[in-house]
Amino acid sequence: MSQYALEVKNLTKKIRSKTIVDKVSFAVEKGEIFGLLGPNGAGKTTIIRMIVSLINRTEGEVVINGHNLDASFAEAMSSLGAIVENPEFYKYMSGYKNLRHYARMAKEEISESRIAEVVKLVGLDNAIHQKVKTYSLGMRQRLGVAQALLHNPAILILDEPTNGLDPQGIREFRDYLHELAATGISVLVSSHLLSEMQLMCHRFAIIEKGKLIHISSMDETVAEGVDELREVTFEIDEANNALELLKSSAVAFEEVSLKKELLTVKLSRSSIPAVNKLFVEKGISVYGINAAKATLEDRFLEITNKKGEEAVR
Amino acid sequence: MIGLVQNELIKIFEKKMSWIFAIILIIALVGTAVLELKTSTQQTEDDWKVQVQTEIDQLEKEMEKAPSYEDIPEDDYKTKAKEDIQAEIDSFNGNLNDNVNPYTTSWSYLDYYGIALKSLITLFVVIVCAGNISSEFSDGTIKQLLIRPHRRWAILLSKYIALLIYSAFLIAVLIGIGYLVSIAFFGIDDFSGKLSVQNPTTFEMEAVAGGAYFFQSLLYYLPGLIMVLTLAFMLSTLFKNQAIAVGIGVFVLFFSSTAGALIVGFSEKYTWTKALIFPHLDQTVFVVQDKILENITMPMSLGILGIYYLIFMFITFFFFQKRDISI
Repeated sequence: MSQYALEVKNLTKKIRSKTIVDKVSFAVEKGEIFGLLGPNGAGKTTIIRMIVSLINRTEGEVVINGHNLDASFAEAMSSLGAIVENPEFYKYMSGYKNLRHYARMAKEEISESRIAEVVKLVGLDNAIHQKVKTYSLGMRQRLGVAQALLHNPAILILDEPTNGLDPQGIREFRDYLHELAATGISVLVSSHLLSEMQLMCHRFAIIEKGKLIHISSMDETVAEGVDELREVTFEIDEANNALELLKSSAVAFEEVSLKKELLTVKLSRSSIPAVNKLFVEKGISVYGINAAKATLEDRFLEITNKKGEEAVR
Repeated sequence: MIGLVQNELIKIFEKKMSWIFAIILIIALVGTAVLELKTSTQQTEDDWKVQVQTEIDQLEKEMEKAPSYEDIPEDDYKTKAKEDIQAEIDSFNGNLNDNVNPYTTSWSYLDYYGIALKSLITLFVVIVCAGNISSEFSDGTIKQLLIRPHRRWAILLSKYIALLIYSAFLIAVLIGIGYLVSIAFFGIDDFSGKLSVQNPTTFEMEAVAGGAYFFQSLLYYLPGLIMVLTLAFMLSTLFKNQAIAVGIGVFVLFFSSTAGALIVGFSEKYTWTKALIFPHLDQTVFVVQDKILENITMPMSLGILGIYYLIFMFITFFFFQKRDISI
């Protein structure tokens, strides 16, 4: 058995002379939520559709749970469950009949009790025998998760899953994904919503213009740039004195704003303790220190801008 | 594969449309039977020959008084001429000689009206076929359908088989309900009871066995139906838009009979037009004649259809396999 739930190697898609996806490689570990991040039109959806074999690959290899998509198609496809964009169902049939339909397409027989279990898991017990046309978008999304989980896949692939969901629905969905990941199922999820991905994923790759330009874990990315200046707000009395004090010290900083009891400056992370020490020694009471955390958005813009500048040069 | 076909059949029969088509067919069967009952003379005697003989005797009496053509004023359309009555008598005598029952029997009803309703079946099959795959595209369900551990050709083949079964279902309704309607309205009739049909080339009436004629006509109708089904199926895979697929499918269906008729005219001058699909779509003409377009026999005609069939199937499966699903 492979250690990865999904491996993608040199995935390339060309339409005529235009390269839409260019040699993208990454791997998703078991029990990991992996994000594909990038602006609209970057090629995220094309990558996902190549993995689930909706779009033909020009080049490259896809290995799902150790099964190569070319060599053992049925085994590979059995190991994945997917929702591609909005989950679409046969609206003239009930949710249950839709699930039966997909259950019949599975390689291994899916029992009635398994269907009931999945329905319960996504909380559709009460509505499962109603026609899908009566479902709300959130219910369809949950039915989508149900059809993707029916056959116990190793990896769940979701393309822009939160599109059209309200904040409440997004939150439920996110919690739900974390629950799934805790049970050992891997998740590959694409989105252009950065803040959403930050809360959802363990690791992520940034895709831009068809290329994978960055890949790292969420903590690393946010922790990176330790020595860069970031905004730090000190809650202190005598903010004016404090500023003067800071100016006369050897600490490198930039002034941002000064209010009565709030001093906001740009500092490197490593000099925060030194500044605190300085204030305390000089008798200034420190009530709080608040270092603004670099968000994924900042990092994302940083990374994409850097690459953009390199390209210009 | 059985599971896939089962799925496709469920999807066809879960749509109300599929049942409405069957109901329309039943209504048409009952409707034509009622019309036939109201508009034509019905057999009242147990033995139709006795009734025919009484009619002849009566007509002969009428003829004695009837004037000939020249004696009828030009603006009088009601009076029957001697010659007309004589023709009727000849026709009845012909019936007696050929042993052809001139009154509506269950088989003659099926042969004249039941068979005519096959064009309804073709229409319904075209609509269902043309909408089958294109609706999966326009509803977006194709995405969920193709991310399963089945090759695309298998999924496509299962749809094709399910559509063949739906066509068989409509034909079964025509035969089954048609037979019930026919015996309910016109009584049970001998399977080999004769009736007369017109030869489309010589325009002469020929006596044929009613039951055998019905089933032979249906059998010869099948190649054309399968071709139209396959064509509509191809359109359905080529066009993502359901309306376009159904529209073109129905257009081709109606255009084909016109084109077939035109080609019969052109074929003397341009031999290659004989290889066009249109004149071959209707194989039922071979029930009463051996050749069409002067020298095309049924095996030749079927061979031409076979070539078109392979081309249609190849295009359908090739494009479906290659297509990028990016809706």
